[in-house]
Amino acid sequence: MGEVARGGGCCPPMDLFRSEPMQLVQLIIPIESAHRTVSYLGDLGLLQFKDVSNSKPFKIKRCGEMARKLRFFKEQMLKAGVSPKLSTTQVDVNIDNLEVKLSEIESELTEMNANGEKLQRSYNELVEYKLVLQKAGEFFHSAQSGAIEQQREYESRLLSGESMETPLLQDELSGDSSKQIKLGFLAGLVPREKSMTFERILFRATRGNVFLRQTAVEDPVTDPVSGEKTEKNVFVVFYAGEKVKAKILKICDAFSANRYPFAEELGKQAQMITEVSGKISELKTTIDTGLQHRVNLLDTIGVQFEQWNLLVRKEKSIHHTLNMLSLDVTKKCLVAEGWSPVFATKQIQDALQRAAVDSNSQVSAIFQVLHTKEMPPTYFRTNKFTSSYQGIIDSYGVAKYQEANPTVYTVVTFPFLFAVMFGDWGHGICLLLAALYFIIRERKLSSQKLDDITEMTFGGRYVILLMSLFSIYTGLIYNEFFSVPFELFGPSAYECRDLACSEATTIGLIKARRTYPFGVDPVWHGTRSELPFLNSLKMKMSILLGVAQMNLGIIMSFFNAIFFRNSVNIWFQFIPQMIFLNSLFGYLSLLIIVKWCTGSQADLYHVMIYMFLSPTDDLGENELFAGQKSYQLVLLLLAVVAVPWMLLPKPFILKKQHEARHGAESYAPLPSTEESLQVESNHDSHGHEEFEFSEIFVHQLIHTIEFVLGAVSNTASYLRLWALSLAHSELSSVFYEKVLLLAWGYYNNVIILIVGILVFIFATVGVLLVMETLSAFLHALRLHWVEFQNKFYEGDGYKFFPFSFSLLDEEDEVL
Amino acid sequence: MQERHDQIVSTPSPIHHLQLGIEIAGTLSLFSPIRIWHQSTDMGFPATTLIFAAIGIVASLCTVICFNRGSSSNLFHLTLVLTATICCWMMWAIVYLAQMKPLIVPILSEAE
Repeated sequence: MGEVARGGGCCPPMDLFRSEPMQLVQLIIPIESAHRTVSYLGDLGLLQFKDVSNSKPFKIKRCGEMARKLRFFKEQMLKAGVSPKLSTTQVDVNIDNLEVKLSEIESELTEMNANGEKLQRSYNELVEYKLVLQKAGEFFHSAQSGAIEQQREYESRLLSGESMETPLLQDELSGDSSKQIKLGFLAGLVPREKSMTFERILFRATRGNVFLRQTAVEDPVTDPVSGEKTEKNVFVVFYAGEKVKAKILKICDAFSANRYPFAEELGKQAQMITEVSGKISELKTTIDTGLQHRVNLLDTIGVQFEQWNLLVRKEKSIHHTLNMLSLDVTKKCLVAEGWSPVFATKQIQDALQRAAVDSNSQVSAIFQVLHTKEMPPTYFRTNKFTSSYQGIIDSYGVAKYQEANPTVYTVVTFPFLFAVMFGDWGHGICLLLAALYFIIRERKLSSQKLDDITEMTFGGRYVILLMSLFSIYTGLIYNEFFSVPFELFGPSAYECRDLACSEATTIGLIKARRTYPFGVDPVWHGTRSELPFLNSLKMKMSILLGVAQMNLGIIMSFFNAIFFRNSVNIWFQFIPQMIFLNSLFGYLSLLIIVKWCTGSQADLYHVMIYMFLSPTDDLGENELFAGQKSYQLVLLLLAVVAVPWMLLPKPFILKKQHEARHGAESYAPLPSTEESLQVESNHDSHGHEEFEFSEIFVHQLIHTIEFVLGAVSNTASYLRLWALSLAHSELSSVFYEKVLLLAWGYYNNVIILIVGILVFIFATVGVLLVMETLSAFLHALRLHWVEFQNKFYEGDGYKFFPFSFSLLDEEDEVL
Repeated sequence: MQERHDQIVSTPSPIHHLQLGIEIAGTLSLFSPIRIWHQSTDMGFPATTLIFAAIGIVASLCTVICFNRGSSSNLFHLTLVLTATICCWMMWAIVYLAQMKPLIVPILSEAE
């Protein structure tokens, strides 16, 4: 493992078949060029840093602050309706200058906001004041005279002393009865919903000793305190006495009723109104200019926002990476360790060189390859076509370093197995159109932000393209166009037995011409014996395809064994596995083909079962070829021998190998103290492998049982190809016959026709194109993940995730 | 008794010869040699297999010529084309073989 090229030699290299060879590198970077070096390496994006830090010298708080400021700007821009534009000019901004600039802008913006709020509040107050002046002025004098009337009445009642409605507290009216009645008044606004309660409480608190007059304001008024528009009433309250005034004031405050000074004289009222109107218009212009100023500022921010955003994020990631490096003893340079592909060596060295030159440092960074037993990350160089397939395989498990990658075959077999289950060239054409739509608008859609489902469909557009192409092919083979067969490739092979076709519905037709050259004969659709024929065909097809794919899987394990020079696996795993699978299920496939070629009536279930139950019995009428019985005996024997062959020798051989490797280990060398690389201490854990024989044996036992039982269960699992294909064709046939043809039958009624067509379209799209696609996709995926991959795939590696600015952009979009 | 025997075993008259000859000729014409050969060997299978192979080879050549990007890349594309050809051929061959000597024949349903 490690970067020691363990492999190859047997076959020429193939793209994507195995992980790129990776190496562990150590970089020693002088401190002055550290920032620039990391930045250039981030642009390159081919190095995955390992965390070897012993302290955290770099503070990333600064970036956090700047990020917060940018978030604030974005909020403000959204509120004002300004959207950040993508600027084409590349202005190179220094990060320190940016920090200063951001704080400047932030303080300016906050100041503007505060001022704006203050002005707005004053404005609202003035508007309310004007309302009070206008409305209260209307009813003031009548209210005042009414109030004076009430007061006189009240006092006279008090003096006469006979009324039963005397208030409880009499000492409020301690004044002289001959005094001129002087009433105080208060004017203001109260929210309409609270006005009734306001009135009631006023009455209660003052023992009915006030006179309140309210009138409603038609439009909702913006409350200066809360800033919201509320319905309000203008009120004037007349009272007598200081204590009452205090109570009224408290009540007004409790009900958040705003009070305004009001003058009694009419002349003064008019004067106040004009004054207030003047102030209002002044304030309005001020507020408007203020807002305009703010919008301008936000616009200028908007132009540069994306750039700043990117810069801050880059800076944050650079600092994060710098924190992963360790400070050397001399405190003059940083040590970095990381994984990189071997092909990127030159590029990395170039980047280091450039960084040293650009930062004017005397020494350039040192690039060194380390030797280690640790398992490197797995890196596949994929393009936009293969990346979606690789993603599918990676979802199950990332390939171990340099083991065979199933993606190479999955690119074709996955759409193919999908198509076997989907087989209808009409539906295939619909899928093709959908895939082409996504591919043609690729560039535009990839820059947009799509919602989850569309994003997944868009990401898999090339998979869907291949799926649709293969579906068209299998649709032509199954001869189904929205379940309707066509005679495209020549005449049908079947015709009536006699001219009158009298026995067509009892005994059936007869095969009179050559076999229909491409696909299923069109005569079968709608016949009574269609299902028995198609079921037999599709089941046997599933077995044949399944055995082929499983054999491919075992052959992949052979390639792995050759690559890793593991001859134990070849002799004691690959060969017995091949023998076992093929002597049973390969033989079954052979019998199927022979039965088809000879047209024999042998019962294959019987043959296979009795091959096990009574192998020495005569086959009788189930005999397909001469010497079959002895052939079967030999195969059965081979299969039986293959099982202990898989199980027993490997653990013993491994044990012997381990003893040979670590035989003389009683004299292990002392760990040398001169090693300056702290690499040794980290990677020494794999030096002394423990060998537990019982563990190895149990592992091999489990593996053997899994394979032997899996041979039967996996082969049967492939029958889902038949099941889903049957379901699809039945659904399609039902929708066609029971919806479209039924509607067509009433051709003189246009409404029924239209409704029928609509129902057919919706059913086809919803059930067949969406649900069946997902279903067949899932099952094809399962066949790959389980039945194909468990023959050879280990999938316990980890993915190569380099430090790259382009990957960063995809990550946190939310800023 | 012997005469009867003679009568029964007597050689057929020329008319009988003719009738027999026509019958034999008729049956022979139904199972003419060409028809037997055609049906038993069914040239369709090898011919179409060759067509598939030819298409595969042409596709591989096109891929190597048009998308030539280094030998490892070429090998990958060749693998894809080869796998696709084999899959398609297998599917066709299975369906064809299953219909060559059918054990079930179509029985039309009543409505037709």
